[in-house]
Parts: sequence; C-alpha cells; structure tokens
Amino acid sequence: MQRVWKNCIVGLLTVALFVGLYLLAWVMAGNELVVPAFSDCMKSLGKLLVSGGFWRAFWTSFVRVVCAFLISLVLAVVLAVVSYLLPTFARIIAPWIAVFRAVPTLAVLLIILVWTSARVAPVVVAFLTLFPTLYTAFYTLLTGVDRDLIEMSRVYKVPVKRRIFQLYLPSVAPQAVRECSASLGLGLKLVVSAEVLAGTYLSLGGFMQDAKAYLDMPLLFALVGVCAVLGLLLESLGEILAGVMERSGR
Amino acid sequence: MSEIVISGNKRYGEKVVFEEFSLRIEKGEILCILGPSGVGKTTLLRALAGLTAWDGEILGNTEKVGYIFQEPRLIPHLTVMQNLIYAGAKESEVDGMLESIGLSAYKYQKARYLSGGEKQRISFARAFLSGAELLLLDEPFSSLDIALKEKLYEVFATLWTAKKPTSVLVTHDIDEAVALAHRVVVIKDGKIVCDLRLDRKQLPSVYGDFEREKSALFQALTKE
Repeated sequence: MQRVWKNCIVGLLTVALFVGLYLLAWVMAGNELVVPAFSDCMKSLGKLLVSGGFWRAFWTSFVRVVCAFLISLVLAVVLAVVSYLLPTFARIIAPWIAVFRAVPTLAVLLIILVWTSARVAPVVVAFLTLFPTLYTAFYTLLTGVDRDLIEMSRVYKVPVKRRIFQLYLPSVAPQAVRECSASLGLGLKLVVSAEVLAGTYLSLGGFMQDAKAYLDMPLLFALVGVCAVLGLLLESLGEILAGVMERSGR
Repeated sequence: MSEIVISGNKRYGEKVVFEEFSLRIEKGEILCILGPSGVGKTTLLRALAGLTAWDGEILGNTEKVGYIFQEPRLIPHLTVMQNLIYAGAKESEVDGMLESIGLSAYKYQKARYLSGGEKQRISFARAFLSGAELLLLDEPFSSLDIALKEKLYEVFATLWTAKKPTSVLVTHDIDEAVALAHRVVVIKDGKIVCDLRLDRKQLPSVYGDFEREKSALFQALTKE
C-alpha cells in the first residue's frame, strides 16, 4: 500500500514538474504563437476529445500503427527464428537488415508517396523502421537463450513443443514484450510524422498539419500531448505485462 | 542393454586429442575415466552423448542417455517437478525419487531458489528418472565441498543400485574414482595408460579402502 502511495506521489510530482516547466517556457516566450497558454491547450484538448472527427482520425492513425507493427512483428519473428535455426540464412539476411536500418525513413517517404498513397505510405514508413528493430531484438533474444540448457534438452531428447513452451518462450517473453511495446510507441511517432509530411486526410498527422496551417497553436500542442500520452500508455502497458511475466517466472 | 565400444580418432583443428583410441564399457558397470585436465575426458563423454562429432565408431546402445553435467543445468523458472518431467520423468515416479534423495519438500519449489547441492541432487534424479540406459557423469562433484560431496556419493549409490545403468564417470580426483567406480581407466596423451578393476564390496567405498589401487592410479597419473 505504501508503495502505491509512493508511486502516486512520484507521478503527481512528475506532472507538476512538467506543468511548471511548460509555464516557465510560456512566460519566457511571451508569445502565444510560440508557446500557447496551458489553459488554452487544455481547452483545445477538451474540444478535441468531444469531437467525432478527432476520434475517427485517432482510430485511423491507431489502425495504421497496429498494421505496421503486426506486419513487422510477424515477419521479424519468422525471419529471426529461421536465422536462429540456419546460421547461413542469418549471414545472408544481415546486410539486408543493415540496409533497412540505414535507410533515412522520412526521406524514403517521398518515394513511397509516389508509389503508393498518403493513406498507405505512413504504414510502409513505420514498417521500414520497426521490422529491422524487431528482427534484431528477437534474433538477439533467441541467441541469448542459455546454451547449456539447450544442450541439456538435446541430451534428454526433449520434444520440440516442450522446448518451445517451457524453455524458449519463458526465457524470451518478458524482454520480447518490452521490445514490442517500445516498438508500438516508436511506430506511433513514425506514423504520425509520416502523416504530417504526407498530409494524410483524417489522421492525427493530418490534424496537426491543419492546425499548423491555421496557426492554431493550442490545438497543435494538444495533439502532440495526445500522441505523447498514447505512446506512454503503450510503453507502460508493455512494461506492466513484462513485469507480470517476470514475476510469474520467479 | 549391451556393452558399448567407442573407437576412433578426435581432432580439434590441428590438435590430435585421440588417435586410434578404443574403450570398451561393460554392461552395468560404473567406469571411471581418470586423467589430468585437458586430456579429452569430457570429449569422450560428449561423443558418447552425441554432442560432439567423433571420427570413428560407437557401438552399443547409446540412444537413452542421462547426462549429469558439472553444473546442474536446471531450468530456473520451472519447479523441481517440472524440471524432472521436462527431461522425460514419469509423474508417478517423481514423489518416490524426491523422497529417496531427501527433497520431497521441494517438489513445487522453483529451481532458481535451490542451493547448489540441492540443484545437483535434482540433476541426479533427472538423469535416473529419464529412463537412461547409459549414464554419463562429467565431474558432477567437482564444485561441491567435501561434506556435500560425500552426501552426493550416497545419493548416487542409492539411485544407481536401484537400476544399475551402465555409467561413465569422468574425474581427475583419485578418491572420487575409487569411491564409486567398478573399473578405473587412466588416460594420458590420448591413450589408456592404466585399466584397473576394483573388487568392490560396497558403494560408495569407505575411507581406507583400495589404498593399493589408489597408489597404482597415482603412479599412472604422475608417471612421465
């Protein structure tokens, strides 16, 4: 109980510090077009939350994030497992992954916009970053499973299904969940950034672009706040889930 | 069950570990391979278990192998019972086995919470419960203190007496070899330099037994 109170107090202090710093920036800027008043941002946020258009935009952006994440996740898991089982394949795919990682994602967006549409491009951009990140994370996790235990399993001819569910999955799951939630957060950032650049209609990024065009700074700040909170929520959810997994494994 | 014969060569790159080597392991015996560090004792065990490639022949039944490693190699997030079942133990045999090694109270304990000695006892139980017909022991007592070591000798003797699987124990400790083996072979420079059968009355032997044999083994180990 004491720990819950401690966490609440730390949370409140963090929020207070953030608001304090924002107010300081507002006073120092002295210009509503640079840093709008906190109260105006809150009013914009309130209006936003009750408007149907916002929720449709929120939902379409969220679906894009989930799509990019799921495609990256499935491909990363499959290829990481194949790489783990076939070291030659891992060597073949390594330079491709390096290229994926090196690609300047938002610059590539321009090419993808030519090839596809403003609705699809943010998904592709997020995939280009999430896939190599997830692949590398899963491959590293798999190669990190205790070799002694794998050897013991070989000696005792433990069936593959049992090895997967009792050795591999419990060994990698908590960190894998953390990687996934971090990727969801990153995916959100990428999708929204790509939507801003692509001017995607009815999306969080599209709303931001409109707010910027009309110099509606309180709305722009409110939208950024929404994205930040959503990213935080996704990462916290993953952290909680991973913690539960770790505790159940103890 | 039949006897097992391992013969052939083993090289690591340019280094020749065994050349035209041959060792016969008789059915139901505890054979101890004694030798200084780096002589290839563990390589022999790993070849018998199919963990290392062996350039030669391994005749006999090496299908059902139980391997007791130097470190217990239990899966930390599984309970004692889950660890035993993971390696092929039948659930109905677990209680009896845990009782015989004095760890009944730990059945549902996660392996990560056991002490080193308890973990090693469970790894012995795992090997015996796996239905192994060939038991390979790779210096399983080496990291234990003397009191725990003697306790584990007793555990091994109790478990072995119940099923009498063919067993190969690797060690560099003469006392350990003499305490548990029916036969001791000394390996040096890739060759068997001494093959000694012990006229064993009890397992493990008690302090003062086989003094003459110990001295012969010591000479074989230290002779240039």
